[in-house]
Amino acid sequence: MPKAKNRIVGIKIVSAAGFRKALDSRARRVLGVSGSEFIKRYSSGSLGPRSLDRKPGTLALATLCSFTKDQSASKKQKRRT
Amino acid sequence: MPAKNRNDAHSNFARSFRESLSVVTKSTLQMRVLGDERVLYYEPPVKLQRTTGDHLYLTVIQTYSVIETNDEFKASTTSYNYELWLKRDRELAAIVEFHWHPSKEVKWPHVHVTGNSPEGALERKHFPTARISLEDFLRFLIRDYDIKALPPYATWKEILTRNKREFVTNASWLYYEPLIS
Repeated sequence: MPKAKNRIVGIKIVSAAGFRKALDSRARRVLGVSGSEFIKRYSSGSLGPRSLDRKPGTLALATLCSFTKDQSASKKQKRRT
Repeated sequence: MPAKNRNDAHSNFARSFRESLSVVTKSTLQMRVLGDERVLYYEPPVKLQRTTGDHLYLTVIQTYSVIETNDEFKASTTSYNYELWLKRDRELAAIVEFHWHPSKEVKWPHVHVTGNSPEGALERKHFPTARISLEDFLRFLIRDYDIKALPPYATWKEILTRNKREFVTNASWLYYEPLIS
């Protein structure tokens, strides 16, 4: 939970689950696939750079993809490096 | 705006970004934090009122992190997507998309425009641009797409001018130099 002093009017900090839900909604709207299916295809490299540019909105999805990781996993990764 | 610590730098950037958006929408902006990088975005796209009475739709994705410079901290943009969409037969169709995403194949700031040319469709061409600020994009929407500004003229002009000035003062780059060489 963000500290009260960090709250900004008009901005909501979303959880990992909330973010994945938003990604899912966007993936279904833009490409007609689920968010997890998009992440799977993007992570496996089956969506090449040209595919990302073929349909409007796809590149934005790829940008959002990197924020789907769990915050605690990211912290652990940071500690290791 | 440079700040004394990371948290303030993050907050200052997000606050000013949201303030600029308040010129055209009251919708709550969403933020996801991952390590030191953050993303500000709207999902679903935001409905914008036009002065002509109909609507267009806005999507915004801004990623940024905070960097330390001379004992101060400032936010540094790592990518942006500013897009305008039209709803047709219940589906959204892109009108114009301003992008900069240096970690992907096309590294220069560019714009995609939906339309046709004698050579073919334009929307997947990457027309090079200077770096576009959110304030530039919002002014473009108000001026060229008749998007209705919510506050009175003097107020929105002051907000966008002040935040654009802040952007120019603190931007680490404004033009993509490899395009010049």
